[in-house]
Amino acid sequence: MVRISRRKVLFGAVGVMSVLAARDFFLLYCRNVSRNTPDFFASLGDESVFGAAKAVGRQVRRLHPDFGTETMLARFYGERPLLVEAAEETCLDTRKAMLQNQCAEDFANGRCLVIDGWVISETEAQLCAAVA
Amino acid sequence: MLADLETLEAGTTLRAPICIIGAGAAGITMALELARAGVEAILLEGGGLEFSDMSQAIYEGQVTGEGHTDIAFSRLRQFGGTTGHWTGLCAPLAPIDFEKREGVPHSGWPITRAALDPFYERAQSYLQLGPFAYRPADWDELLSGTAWPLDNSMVEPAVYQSSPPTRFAETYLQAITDAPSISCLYHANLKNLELGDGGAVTRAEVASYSGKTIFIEAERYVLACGGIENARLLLNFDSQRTDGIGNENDLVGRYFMDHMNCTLSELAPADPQGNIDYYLPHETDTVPVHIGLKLTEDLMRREGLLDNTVFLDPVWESESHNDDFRDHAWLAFSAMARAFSRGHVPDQFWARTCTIADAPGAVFTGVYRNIRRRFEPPGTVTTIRFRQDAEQAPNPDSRVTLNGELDQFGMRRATLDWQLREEDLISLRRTHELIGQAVGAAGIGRVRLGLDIPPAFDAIYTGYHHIGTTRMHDDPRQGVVDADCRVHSVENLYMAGSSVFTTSGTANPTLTIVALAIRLADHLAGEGKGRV
Ligand SMILES: Cc1cc2nc3c(=O)[nH]c(=O)nc-3n(C[C@H](O)[C@H](O)[C@H](O)COP(=O)(O)OP(=O)(O)OC[C@H]3O[C@@H](n4cnc5c(N)ncnc54)[C@H](O)[C@@H]3O)c2cc1C
Repeated sequence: MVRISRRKVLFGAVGVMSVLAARDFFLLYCRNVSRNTPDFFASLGDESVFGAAKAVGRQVRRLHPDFGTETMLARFYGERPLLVEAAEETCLDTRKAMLQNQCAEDFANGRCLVIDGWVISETEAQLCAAVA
Repeated sequence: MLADLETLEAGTTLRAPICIIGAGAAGITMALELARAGVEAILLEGGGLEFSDMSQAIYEGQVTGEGHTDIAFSRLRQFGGTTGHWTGLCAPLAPIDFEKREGVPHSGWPITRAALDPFYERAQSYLQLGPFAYRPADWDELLSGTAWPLDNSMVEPAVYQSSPPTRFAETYLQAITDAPSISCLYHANLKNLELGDGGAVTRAEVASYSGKTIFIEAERYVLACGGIENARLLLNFDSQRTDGIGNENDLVGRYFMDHMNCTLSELAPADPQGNIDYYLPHETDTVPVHIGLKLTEDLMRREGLLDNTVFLDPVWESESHNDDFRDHAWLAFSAMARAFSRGHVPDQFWARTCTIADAPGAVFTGVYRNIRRRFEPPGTVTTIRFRQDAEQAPNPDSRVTLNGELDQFGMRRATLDWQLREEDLISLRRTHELIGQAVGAAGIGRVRLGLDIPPAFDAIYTGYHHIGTTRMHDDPRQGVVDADCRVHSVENLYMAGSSVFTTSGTANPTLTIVALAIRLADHLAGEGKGRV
């Protein structure tokens, strides 16, 4: 089984949220999100992005309680080596690109779901659920 | 020849091989095509050459069922018909629309798209369109911007052309007047079709507003009065056939369809600076073209989905570039401004002026924004809305019936009961979801669906397209007319217009109406020759 630290998951999730489609999405999800973001994430990117990730994650969890759990994530990462690589990647842009590719691959294979009306990839759903 | 029925003597009988009732897009096209083939025809128009309240009042009726529609104002009862109102968006129906589709109950025309192609080609010029070119590749190099790199096994571009829009009254009045083989009478309202012993129509009773009645004797008759009126007339003709002419199987008026006009779902672009020019209206050398997004036919078939074309409406950061203010007053204003800029006096000048005067707010906003647009860049795209005229499945409970009220000719008025089913909207939702999947895969952005399950109907409006009430089917128990548009149970009565469509597809109907009218004219002209 692939071992993946929680920190790496969170790195991944923030990366994912920053490639999630832009402004409207963030505006929607950041509306009621508290801005008390730990320093750790502040250094990783836009705090509103992280807020959005959490909000999406909560919705995902409501519909799919097993999403984002460590067992599920370990399996999920096992099937998506690109995500493991992305989590190791220190350059934010490269990481974003890798995540983008993984999301695109999910979509291309029909691995997507509807969360609060948004059509998102399974990767996005899993990583958001992980930070929720 | 063009004449006012009021100038004829009461009791006159006129004769011609063919009598066409209704001078709208279908009727005028047929008359001109028959003239070209050298076949004489009488063309009857209930209204006058201009709008009149007296004629228009005959279209009044009741609306039950879906609230966001109308029965009276969305049709025009005058020479030229509803082409006095239309906005001119055109595309042929897709090949899949003619098929018997698993997921679409009551689908399946008795003709194919390929059989209609030669008539579509001829229909283009009646609507002042460009070449019969509706494949995206036909427009390669001619359009600005580039198509999104979407998986072409899922989503493909859909090409639409824009008519000026052709006003049949202005454009064809002279040709109708000048054609020696056409006798066009206006203020000539069809009141009854009399049947002989053999079950064929022997004569038409036609009345003017002052109560004058004349008769037309023809070998063949064509009803071309629009999608609601074709059914209303047949149902009213119940003196010899109790349930109305052609209604032996209780089908006349049923299967009424409209396009579900709605702006639902949106796309949040990954790159707000991304260029979406390809999906915005284009001016080309020949005709304005607009590209939408469609699921491929294979995918529609596999998923059992109804047809739909999504047009992309971007919302720009700078409000001045957004067109959300557009309403009837703005449309009237822009049509007038366009006509003046070309040095013409606009058609329906007073009607349009009154529409603007009634609600000038949108015109002020529109003018202000259009001026600001010249100085202000649009900025980024904040979101892209999905606008469409989506297909609904044929539904026998969606129908035009008669009510107890009478019009000035003593004919019962129509009730429109437009019914949509949840499945129609769930199909649209799934279509958007699949587009969401394709744009996600291409990294274009993420789609947010505008329809829940169960879906709400309140965002669905009429497309002003009245379809299906005398549907075409080989089996008389499933359709009112056969593949030649002839009423199954009447050997010399034909129907023209969107009432004969078996399914609505998603394309706006008028190009198909005109193509079918040309096809019917060819058929009648050919039959006529056979008879000699
Ligand atoms: C606002 C609006 C926008 C539209 N935009 C588009 C568009 O973009 N693209 C598109 O494809 N379509 C559009 N349409 C629809 C288009 O206008 C119709 O499809 C088209 O006009 C139908 O043609 P028709 O000949 O079947 O009927 P009509 O044009 O309605 O003609 C019927 C004729 O029959 C006459 N008549 C009726 N009863 C009698 C009688 N008893 N005796 C004698 N004559 C009679 C009427 O006076 C009329 O002249 C639009 C419609 C509206 C209202």
